[in-house]
Amino acid sequence: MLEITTTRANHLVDPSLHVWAWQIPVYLFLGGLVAGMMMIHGWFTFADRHRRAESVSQLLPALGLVLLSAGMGALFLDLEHKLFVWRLYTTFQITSPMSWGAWILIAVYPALFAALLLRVPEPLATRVPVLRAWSAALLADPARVRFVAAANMTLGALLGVYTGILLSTLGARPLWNSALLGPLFLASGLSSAAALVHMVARDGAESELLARADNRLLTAELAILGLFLIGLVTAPRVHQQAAALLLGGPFTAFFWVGVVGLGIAVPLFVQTLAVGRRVRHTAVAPVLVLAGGLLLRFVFVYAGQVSHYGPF
Amino acid sequence: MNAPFFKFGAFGDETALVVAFVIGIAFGWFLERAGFGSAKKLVSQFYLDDLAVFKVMFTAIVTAMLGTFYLGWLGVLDLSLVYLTPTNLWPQIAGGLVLGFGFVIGGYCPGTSMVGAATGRIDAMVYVLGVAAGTFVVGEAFPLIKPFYESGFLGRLTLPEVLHLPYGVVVLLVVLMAIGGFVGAEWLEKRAGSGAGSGAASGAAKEASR
Repeated sequence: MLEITTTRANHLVDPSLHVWAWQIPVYLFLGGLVAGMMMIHGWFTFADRHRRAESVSQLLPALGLVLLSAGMGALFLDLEHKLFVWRLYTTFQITSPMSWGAWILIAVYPALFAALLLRVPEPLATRVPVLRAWSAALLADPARVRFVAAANMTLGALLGVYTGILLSTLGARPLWNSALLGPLFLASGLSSAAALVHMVARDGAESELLARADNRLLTAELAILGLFLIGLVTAPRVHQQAAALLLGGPFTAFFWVGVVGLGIAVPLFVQTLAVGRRVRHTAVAPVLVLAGGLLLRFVFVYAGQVSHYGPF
Repeated sequence: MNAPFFKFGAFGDETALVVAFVIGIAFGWFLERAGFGSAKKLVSQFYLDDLAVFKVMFTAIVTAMLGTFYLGWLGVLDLSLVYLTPTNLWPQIAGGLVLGFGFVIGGYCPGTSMVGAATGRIDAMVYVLGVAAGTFVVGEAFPLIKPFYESGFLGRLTLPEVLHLPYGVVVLLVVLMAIGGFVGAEWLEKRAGSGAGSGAASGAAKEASR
């Protein structure tokens, strides 16, 4: 970083400052995915689905904890000074999205753990018997169950939106500087989560429900993407140049083929046929949605670092 | 003269990939609707009891050929700018045989395997993995096979040049060949007693009944 700031901050040496590599998009994807899973879990808990033996509800918190930890691991790898990570938790800066993110991530863990207690997976309960007692105490009071569901939905929404806001507040990057990035990443995270849960759910009704929900979320994502692009191309020149990265520039094929085509349009079409009973459900559509969600983060993180204010 | 659009700069490399994706998806859609996402249907042509693949593909070739010919004749399309793969006779014969054997053994060609995989067929997904593995092996072994790969080079060849016939005459001959092929295919199908009738639609119906 020192070398970049002292000798390389020259567009003839480094045309763009590129400091975020694969770790950030992977973290943003896994964070968004877990956010969506928390919201789905909260929804299912309010619908009393967590009491059903076949419900996917019992799988979501454990899976969420694993995926979030993997995402946090990727984020940790990106840190320049790994030993000082604890300092994030010595302060709360209300105007800093990173500070918000750090605290939201910490709050997500107990919320997921509480959700796990609503129905402890049998292998875990066998190994840690005390979890049964905690689970019984939690389930004894319906208000506590509703609180856990509400906490998961709220923190899930905050986590999902935060992954987009983290980028959108970096005003020096015109591609990211849009208020729609938060809703876009939230919709994408929810859609990815719906696709994953649809794929792993054993209960046919739940799987079908999530396929239908995913179709609506994919449609919303497509609409937000459209509005996002309209916002950029009708904004001042620097934003138009940022949009050009996706509209004929070096990220066009990745964006339109990978994200919009294979990641949204094709699975939306296939899944619409599937819920209409015209073709059978397969893993193809959800896998494409998940791959598209990951690619969306890669395209935005990488293209965003190329977009900048002059010289052009 | 305004086509080929890419050669005349209507769009750049990146947008060309998006156009290719849209065309590819449309191609895959029509292959699937014709029933070509099923290995059973595809290999039926080798047993001569259902020649829908032959008829559909030959129809596509003739349609594209006539479109290209008339657009060139009208001055809309500059045929000299349409990309043609250069001919390397021996490696292309060998490649064609390898692809043919793979088609008969595996039940798919690379394009139809993608169609089958997109509709959730496990055998097609395995075939796609095989295509990827084969591509990887050829890529890694390329220095060894490069002399053969570049052998038999004949440059950019077209049938009118090879046959020393006017372009329009070749087009007419191919159309006549297609009509003959369709009649012959119908005869073979009836002889095989498949009762498949003609065309992709009935083939798809037959597939659906399996």
